[in-house]
Amino acid sequence: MKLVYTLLFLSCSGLLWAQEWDDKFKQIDNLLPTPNVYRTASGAPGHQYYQQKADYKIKLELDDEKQLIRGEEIITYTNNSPDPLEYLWLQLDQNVRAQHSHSKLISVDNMESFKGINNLERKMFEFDGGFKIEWIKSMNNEDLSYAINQTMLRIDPKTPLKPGGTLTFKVKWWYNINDRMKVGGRSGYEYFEEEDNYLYTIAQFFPRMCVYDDVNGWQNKQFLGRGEFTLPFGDYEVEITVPADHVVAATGELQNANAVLTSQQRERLKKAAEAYEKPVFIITDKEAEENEQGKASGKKKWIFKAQNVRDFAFASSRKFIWDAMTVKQENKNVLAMSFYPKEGNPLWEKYSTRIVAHTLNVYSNYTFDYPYPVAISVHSRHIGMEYPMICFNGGRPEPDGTYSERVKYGMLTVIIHEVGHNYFPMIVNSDERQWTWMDEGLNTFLQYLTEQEWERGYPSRRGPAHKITDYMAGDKSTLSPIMTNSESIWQFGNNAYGKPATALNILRETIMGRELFDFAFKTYARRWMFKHPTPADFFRTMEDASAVDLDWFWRGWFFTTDHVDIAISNVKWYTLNTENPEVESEWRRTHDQQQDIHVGDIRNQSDIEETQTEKYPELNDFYNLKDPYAISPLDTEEYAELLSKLTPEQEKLLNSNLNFYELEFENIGGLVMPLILQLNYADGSSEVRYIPAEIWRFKSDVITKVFITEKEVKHFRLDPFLETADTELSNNSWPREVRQSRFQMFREKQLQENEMQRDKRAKEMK
Amino acid sequence: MVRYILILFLVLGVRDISAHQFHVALAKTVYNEKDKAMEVTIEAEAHDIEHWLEDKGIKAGHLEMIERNSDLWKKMSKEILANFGATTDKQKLVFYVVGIEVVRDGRVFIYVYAERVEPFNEITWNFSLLMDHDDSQQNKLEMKWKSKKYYAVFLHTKRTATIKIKDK
Repeated sequence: MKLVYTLLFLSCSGLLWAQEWDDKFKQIDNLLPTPNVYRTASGAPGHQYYQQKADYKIKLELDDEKQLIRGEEIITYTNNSPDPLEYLWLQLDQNVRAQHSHSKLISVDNMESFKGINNLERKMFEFDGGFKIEWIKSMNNEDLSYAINQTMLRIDPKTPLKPGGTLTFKVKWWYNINDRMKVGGRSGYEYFEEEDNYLYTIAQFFPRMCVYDDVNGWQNKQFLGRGEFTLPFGDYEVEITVPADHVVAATGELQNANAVLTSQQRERLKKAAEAYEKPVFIITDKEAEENEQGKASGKKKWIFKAQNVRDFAFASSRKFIWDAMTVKQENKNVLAMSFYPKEGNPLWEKYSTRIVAHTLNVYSNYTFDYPYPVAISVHSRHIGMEYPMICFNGGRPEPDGTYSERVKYGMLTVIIHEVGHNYFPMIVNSDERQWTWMDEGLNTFLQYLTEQEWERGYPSRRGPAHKITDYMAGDKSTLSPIMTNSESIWQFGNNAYGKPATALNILRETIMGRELFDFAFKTYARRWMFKHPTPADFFRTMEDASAVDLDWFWRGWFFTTDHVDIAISNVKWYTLNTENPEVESEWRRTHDQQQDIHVGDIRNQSDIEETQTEKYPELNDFYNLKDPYAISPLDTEEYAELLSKLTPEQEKLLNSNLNFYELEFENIGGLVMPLILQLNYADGSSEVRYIPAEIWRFKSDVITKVFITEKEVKHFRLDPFLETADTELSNNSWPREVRQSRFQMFREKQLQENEMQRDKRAKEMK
Repeated sequence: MVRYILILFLVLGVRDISAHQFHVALAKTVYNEKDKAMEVTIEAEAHDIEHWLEDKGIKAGHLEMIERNSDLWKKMSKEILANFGATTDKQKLVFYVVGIEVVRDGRVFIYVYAERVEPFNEITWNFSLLMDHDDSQQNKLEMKWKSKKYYAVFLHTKRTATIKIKDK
């Protein structure tokens, strides 16, 4: 009976163990797709990896009177897949602003959303956006059958496009350009009312091929406004007709400088090609101001070519100042350029092109040499958007020419970020429609490194571990794991930009170390340069190239919403019993003297004049009279006998005066992380000890660890360098430390003007 | 079916949308037992607040330029406090903005304070800041009561949240 009972108990406890053990280090094979001939288990492209190609010849006209674009394109699509394609899908991103767009219908609202005339106006706002497709024809001018489903367009060729085959067809369209300040958007125009001028930043302006690959088949998930673009590589030849006094900046290299630039401008461009230290003006501020005064009646055609790009964008205005300098990469020179209206100065002429150049240098160092001939930053108000070789950026000073630090750093930050997107996803071409973090997260990580190389103490918004803690802590009901589709993400910026950037920074600084991380990250970038990686390719490459099992990290940081909150919940201090009666007796005496004394005992010392045993000494016996700290000859003899049995090493250890601290760590947040423990000693010195995260592998809620020290520890502190994103620092110390709130630290500032304005006013007083 | 009359707040302003990735405000509140005060730090993106005020017809410009106790300051405070407040089971808290601080990375810290706050068992927070500017705005509140922390999230469809004190 007893035996049966015991077995039952074992069986039950085994069941409990199976149910309760939360294996944070379980491998993530079940979360990733099975490796195959297209994508290997190492994270590299497989031996049968393929990708499609889409080449474009586009003719455009920008109508500055009506703010619309008319275009005609020839697309040559090459099917490199092993599959015959019955139909082809194209993207019609402008249709997100069409009158019957689904993106307007899917926002949840209640009547709170309609309070205020502006809210009502916004909800009721009508704009005739969206592509107006005029026709789609074969190269023989036969109409092709097609169907439009919201932001997707399907073309049905007469026969399936065979593996290795190409299909060339033509599309004609037009659309109204959106006023970005009223309608919003990643592209559109900014209107300068005072001079009746426009600055166009134009993108997603033509029907573009979808990606067909081994992962999704056709990636034709509708564009709802958030999940961005998934595009195949190809070669572009684009002719853009604009008013004759406009200046155009675009993806690719200008093919007809003789026709659109003055000889002076061409001469200055030549100088810029040799300017490695600072930019050269191609169009000065004075020239731009003169140019924007009138309106030319004629037109000019600007021709650009770009090879192996996944998209094309351009900017056009008569307001542009233009400067350029050359960035030396290992095997080639790149022209870094900026186009901006006078409203951007003095910030833009001082910083834009310089920070473009700096960004290329830093990003290339961590990935690969920038492969394109130009990198352009264009200024328009309130924007930050990226395209191959060109990006549109905000950062506008006050009308009086001053600017706050926030505006300056905001401008630098957005330029770094958008230029950085050339690497992710323009070249390492991930699926933005599905996974925002693969480009925004990786790019934000490199952005942080670039910012820090620009200026010591640069006020980076994201990157360091402690900057993500407010997002990760607390109520999880409205948080998403990083591995969430772009459209379903709660707190888009923190989730897809901040958290992955932080995670990579933690890998680099704490888990893997800079050398291993940098090698693995560069391996990923180079493996997938000009290809289409997936999350699994990234996760696998980082492990494959470093020999660090990171499955626990990917699982916790990318597949859950757990946070880091590891507490020191208890500390016990032990010292060795030396068995030496002299040492131990003295230790007991000191220890007893340090004990707290009960208040009654203190008062009794004076209130009781004489006890019975004091009055009648004969009442004392052996126990009353013995000295508890006395050392008997027997004690000494026993100690001598002990010593005679010890080896010299054991005797040395016994007399080492080592301290043993048993620390209990509680994992409150759920994420396992390394334990980085600072030991502050009684003598004022300190040291840091690092325990890998695997210490949590068998038990992830509470563990103990013994730290052995020669010196006495006065204070323990967990995560002293703020590197694990621990969300609750008040439980990281032992003894506990009280931390002030930001409110308590707040001291009201009397300074109500920016420092440049204050300086200006001070100079005026002199 | 009951018919309601929708009263609009008639303010004029230019809608100024920009594609960006923030849409989050965070309030850290601490009940100061000694002073019987609620001390609040609201963190948001400075340009979010600026655009939001502009949307309401308040030409605030850059927040760091607003002179304390000026008319603009008062208008800004009024709008902030119309979208941030609390009522306990004992009283309605009267908050006032005691300062703002804009830091170099673009965040603004708005310091809000309520005094004569009696200890309570339950508190209902309203934290709808910026929600009428952007439907995707998600606000979060952390309340420290003694040594315990409580959390609440706010969406444009859920602008209030009640926290019950579990262990006084």
